[in-house]
Amino acid sequence: MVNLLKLELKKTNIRTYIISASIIGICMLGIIYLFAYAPKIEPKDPDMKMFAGYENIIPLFNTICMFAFSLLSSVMFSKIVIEEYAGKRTTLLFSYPVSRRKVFLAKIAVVSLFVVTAMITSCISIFTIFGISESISPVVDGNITFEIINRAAKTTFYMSISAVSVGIISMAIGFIKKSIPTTIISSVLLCSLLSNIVAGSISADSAIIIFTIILVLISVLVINIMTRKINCMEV
Amino acid sequence: MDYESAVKISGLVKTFNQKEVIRNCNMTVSKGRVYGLLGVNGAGKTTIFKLLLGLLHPTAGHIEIFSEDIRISKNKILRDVGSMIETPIFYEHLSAIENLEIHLSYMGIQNTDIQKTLGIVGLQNIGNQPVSQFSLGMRQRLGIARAIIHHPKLLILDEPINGLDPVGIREMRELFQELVKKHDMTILVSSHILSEIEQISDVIGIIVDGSIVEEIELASIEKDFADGLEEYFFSIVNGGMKHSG
Ligand SMILES: Nc1ncnc2c1ncn2[C@@H]1O[C@H](COP(=O)(O)OP(=O)(O)O)[C@@H](O)[C@H]1O
Ligand SMILES: [Mg+2]
Repeated sequence: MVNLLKLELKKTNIRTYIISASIIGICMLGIIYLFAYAPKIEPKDPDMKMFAGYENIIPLFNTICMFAFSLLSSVMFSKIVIEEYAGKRTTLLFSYPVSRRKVFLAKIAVVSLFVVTAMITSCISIFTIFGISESISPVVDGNITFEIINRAAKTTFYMSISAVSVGIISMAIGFIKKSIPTTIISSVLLCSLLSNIVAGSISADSAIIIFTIILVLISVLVINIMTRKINCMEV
Repeated sequence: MDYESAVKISGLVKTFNQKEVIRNCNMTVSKGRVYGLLGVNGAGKTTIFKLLLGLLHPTAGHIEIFSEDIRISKNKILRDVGSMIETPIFYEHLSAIENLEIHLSYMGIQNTDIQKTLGIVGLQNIGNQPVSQFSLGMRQRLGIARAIIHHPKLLILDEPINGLDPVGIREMRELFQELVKKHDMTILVSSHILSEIEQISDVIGIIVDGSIVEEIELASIEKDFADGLEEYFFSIVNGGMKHSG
């Protein structure tokens, strides 16, 4: 299995994805400052309340982050999974004396690990930069307490898992049509839907946990269905 | 002459959307021979090869490779088979050497002389350029290199000569003879071009509408039909047409 993971890494141009993840990270850094400054631009606007204080900004920021990394994960799943099983590549892949199931799971593992690592790394870096700059010259009213940091860490973790799950679910939808655009569009639609749900229930900690668990369960289910399909696929 | 068989197909049927593409097909490939599968476009050559590799599941019938059933011992069989089906596909952004390394890794083989194999197919000085920059002929050669590098006992090549020039065809013939003699391989090639098959194979199987209608030693055709294979082929194909109405 380790060998199969290494092979997947070797076959993909992983540098492209590292660059993409870095670009997303830089944009997200811009977003967090945008949120922080938002109430200062129109102090009287009641809509700006959603950006008031760290406890509002951080979950909002995490949601946007999840949106971005979901898209990255669906692009990666398109390239690494859909493209390999949709085109003539499959003829080559299936003529090897290796279990089809293991190859498929190796692909999922590579993308999942990459996206989770990339999202957590980006968020930690962004929070560190933002935290330092806030302690030097604060933009947001309020104090950074341990509770806020703890919550930011938890939300980041759950949302990174959700980002992967959204990628997996859109990959399954794209797989039915064997189409890359379908995969990416599905992920945009799923994300828009989910961001609304999450943004609506931002104050409740348990909401994000339940929401992640549901997504993971659906992912496991669709991976199972896809594995069975791939096992009896004819090319 | 009596040879042990490397491939044995009996009563094979394959239908796609209720259409019988392979019908009651029987085929025997003896060990250590170059078997040429000859048939017009759409006769079912690629389909038979895909069935042999377990890429398609037979609707009915049996396939044995080295006396093992492909449905039962697929992975065991695949370790001993090298193949190239239609146009070979590569990881375009990687070099020839990297493509071969990935292949060997999937095959579970280490310590193989990649440069030597590249030399055998006439790709010695290709450097590290990505495969996306290769010409059609170079791709074909790399595809053959990939099919033989893990020392398979059975080599299955679907229209391997597409895109090769006359010199290339001659080199392939010599390569096939060498692989059979020195490495104990059995080779199964397909083509729709008579003259190619005639130049490279020992035995010819003629496939008409998804069924092999004749399997014959090339030497015996040359003896009995003064006009050679072409005359023979047309007599078979036309006969086959009449039978099937
Ligand atoms: N996956 C498929 N679905 C439906 N029909 C197919 C499929 N693959 C091949 N066929 C049909 O089977 C016949 C034989 O095709 P093929 O084996 O590719 O012929 P050849 O390789 O001899 O040119 C053709 O009529 C082709 O249209
Ligand atoms: Mg063909």
